[in-house]
Amino acid sequence: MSENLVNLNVNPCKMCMPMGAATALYGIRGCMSILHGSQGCATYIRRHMATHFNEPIDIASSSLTEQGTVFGGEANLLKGISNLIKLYRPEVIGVCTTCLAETIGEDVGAIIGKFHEQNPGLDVKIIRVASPGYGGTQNEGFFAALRAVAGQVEPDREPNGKINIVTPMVSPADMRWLKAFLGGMGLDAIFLPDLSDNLDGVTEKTYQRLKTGGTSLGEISKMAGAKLTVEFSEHAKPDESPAVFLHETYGVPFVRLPLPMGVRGMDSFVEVLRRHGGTVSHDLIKERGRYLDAMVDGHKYCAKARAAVFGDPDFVTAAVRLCCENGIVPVIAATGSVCPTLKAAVREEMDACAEISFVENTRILEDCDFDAIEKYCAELGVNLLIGSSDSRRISRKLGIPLIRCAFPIHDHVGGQRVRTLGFEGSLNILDQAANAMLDRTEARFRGDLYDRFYKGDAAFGEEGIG
Amino acid sequence: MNDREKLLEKYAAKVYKNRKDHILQLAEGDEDPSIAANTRTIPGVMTARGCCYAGCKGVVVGPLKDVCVITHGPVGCGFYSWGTRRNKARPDEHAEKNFLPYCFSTDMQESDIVFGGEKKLEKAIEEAMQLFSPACIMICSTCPIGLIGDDVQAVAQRTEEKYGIKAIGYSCEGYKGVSQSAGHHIANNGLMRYVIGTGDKAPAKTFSVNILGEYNIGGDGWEEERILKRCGIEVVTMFTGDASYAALKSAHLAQLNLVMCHRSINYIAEMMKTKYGTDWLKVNFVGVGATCQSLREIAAYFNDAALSARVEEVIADELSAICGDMEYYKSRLAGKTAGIFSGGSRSHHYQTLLRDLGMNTVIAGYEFAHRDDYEGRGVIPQIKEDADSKNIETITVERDLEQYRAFYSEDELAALCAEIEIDTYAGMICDMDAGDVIVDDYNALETDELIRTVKPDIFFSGIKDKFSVQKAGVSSRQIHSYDYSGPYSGFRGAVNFGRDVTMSLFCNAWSYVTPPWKHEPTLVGSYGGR
Repeated sequence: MSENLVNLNVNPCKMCMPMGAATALYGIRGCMSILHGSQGCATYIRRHMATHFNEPIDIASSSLTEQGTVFGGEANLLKGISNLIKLYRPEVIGVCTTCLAETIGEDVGAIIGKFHEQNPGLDVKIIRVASPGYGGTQNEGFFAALRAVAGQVEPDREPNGKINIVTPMVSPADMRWLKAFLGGMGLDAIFLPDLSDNLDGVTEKTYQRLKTGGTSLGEISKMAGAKLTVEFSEHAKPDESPAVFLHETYGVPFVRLPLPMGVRGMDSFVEVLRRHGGTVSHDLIKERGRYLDAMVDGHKYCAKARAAVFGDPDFVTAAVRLCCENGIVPVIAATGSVCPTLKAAVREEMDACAEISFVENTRILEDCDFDAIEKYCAELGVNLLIGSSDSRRISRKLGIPLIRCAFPIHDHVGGQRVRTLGFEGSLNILDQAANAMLDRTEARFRGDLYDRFYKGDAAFGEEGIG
Repeated sequence: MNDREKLLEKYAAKVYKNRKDHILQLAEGDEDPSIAANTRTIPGVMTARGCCYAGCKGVVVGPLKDVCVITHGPVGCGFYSWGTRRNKARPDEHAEKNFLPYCFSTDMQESDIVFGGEKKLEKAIEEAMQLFSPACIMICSTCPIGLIGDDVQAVAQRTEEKYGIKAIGYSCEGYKGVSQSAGHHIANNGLMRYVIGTGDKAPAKTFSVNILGEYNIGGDGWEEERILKRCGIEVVTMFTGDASYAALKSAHLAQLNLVMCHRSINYIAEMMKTKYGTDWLKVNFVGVGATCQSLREIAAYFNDAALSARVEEVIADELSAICGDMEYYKSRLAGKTAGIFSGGSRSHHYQTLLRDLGMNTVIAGYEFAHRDDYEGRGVIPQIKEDADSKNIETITVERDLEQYRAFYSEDELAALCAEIEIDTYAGMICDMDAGDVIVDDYNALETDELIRTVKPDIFFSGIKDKFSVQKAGVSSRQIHSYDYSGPYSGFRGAVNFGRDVTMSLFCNAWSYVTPPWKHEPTLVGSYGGR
């Protein structure tokens, strides 16, 4: 039997592909994206990204109207690209499709070819991304854009000794940490993408629409000559994976790792980097020690937690492992993506963790909505939510605390600063989990204890001791 | 070069040719200034506009709390319109159902696009009936639906037959029309055709109104209802803030329609006038002076001495309660300038509230307005219908012989029109001054330029502009969602607004933008031995 209603999605735990594609393109230097479709797609996505990142978000639209849907959208897209160049002067343009463009069968490659024909000598790289809204979630859209970028730049195969780092959507603050971490290990890395500056900007004297952060196409072309690709995804399918592409096309060796969360996530990452010339500093060893110390400090409180973890598959996998490492029982692991590999990645670990704490039932849900998550939260006695702010309604309804640490965060500020990676990021989640349990105990200890052990006990008579 | 010319200067010939008619700078002695509006957006300019689906589902039918609104299409559109507008509602007493916290989507996949999604939609409705058993289901279509030929109206009809509930299908695919405006129109048509006039719950009070185009953002509608109730006027329903299908059914039994957002709801106002004889009055409850004026006009419409006296009592009482606060905020804000880009009348409405606070609006405009929102309804006969507007159905209604009841005879109405403007709207421009800049369908580039050249002290628009405006060193407030604040309408709302604007403009953070070392001279020396 399905975990969800089959036909009606009630409170979706996912967004659409163009959202992910547009986000990924924000990590490319000098890039602006244009969605080929009706203008609502761009507007909705700008609005949602702006709310999460608290940053201006600029995504253009080819503004297709009824005429464009009937006679084809070529004229609109050509005009759109041309105006985008004239008005904002991007170095790179990402053209992402939408439900509309894909349904009417637009040949975006041919339209871009025509644009170049009509505008010879223009120094703009135009990258096409197939991202129909019905083709997957924002996670698949994110990887589709990365894969498109990796596949459409001119490769520079000259060996350069660099390490490619491919990430799913992580916060700009996590990205900054990742960059500093690689630097701290003495390694030269290329990041695909690099959202650190463009989606977490500063106050400047003059505001610039075209963002100056991100990884340049020049750097990205060097990915073909890197000595290794580290891709933080266990779930991206081979045909979506930039690492697999770089390996198959240019022979760049790759490892696919879980996101560096928790002890094992960090250890396996550090180990890979160490084997490829990275130095493990005293500071890093100390940080690991401090993290373990904090784990031991917090485990007695964390052990009371029965968590529902939800979001993109790679986040869920990493966060579930983080929970298990410190006795938080992840009773629900859920993703809105279609992800048959999720079960294999977390099942065993979840069962083992549950067994220790006498938890009988756990659920792994793929392609699910928040209605299903809510149902199982109530059924399985979940007392901690870990994921996006879309679960705030469950949080309020069932009185369960929520750790906001995944996209999108729409009811709090600071989405761009959320830390989940590395020892510090992991501890951010663990501390919040422990404190949520402590708050609960603080507020309800007497009631819970009394009701459980003494209420109605014969020794105290009908009235109890109160 | 004036501000308008500076704005247009950046554009190459083709874009210039299009945009020049959408940008206006009022000049002294300028008779009948005219602006182009409701035409296609130029691709690639980074417009602020949304789509037809957003206007229908997001704005008009989304706030109906007892309606299960199912987005038929891939998942994104449903998600993006899930709880994103701050149309507040409380569940009706005795009715447990409130669907506002929910998003319902058919979440179509590639195979549904290829083989059609009608069956999936019908099954989704079956599931919705099992789970929630709503009295009304509305189906809102996203882009692919019209293209693959799913017939949502037929599905709605079959739903009605099968479950005995009300079901309405909207063909509000995103690509229709040129902006959200098309979706407003489509939603208006559906409500008029299938909902209004089907109920029989008569108002209890002597005087009764509907508030049209009030979506209860941040509780605005509640403040308006509070004031009207104090005056002894019953609000039958709002369209559609804190409203329900159940209440909309009897909207035709109200005596007068008050129109707040002209653009999104004027179709219903006009059609109700024709079909039921209900007059409409363009009101503005944003601003203290405007609220007083609107209340007096409502009293004038009903032409009842006791009501007029009561309205004056309420006004006096409300004013005395807020005048201290308003004076204080005015003392902080007087002389400051503002830019506003809001919904379909609100860029006009907020100017009156800003005026109450001694502020001047120097930039104003709309995303999706039509010429009549700028120039007044008098311009309607001059508007040429283009292909995009022709694609949006205009329904013709006729007098409902059983339910038609005009409050006044035509002669009486004509006499009253000498006193107050009934069944019409004069537009925004007539309340603006020489030098002010008006921009239709504004975009990111123009926003940046306006901030640079006109330099308003504060900019009121949406979240897509908020962060770039703030990064340019100018205060900003979200006037679509109020940055989680509100209400801003009526008397109490005016105080909230004054407080919020003062807080934004005088926040200490602005004083630290320039670091101290930027003030220090680059050379330090002594002069003349001192």
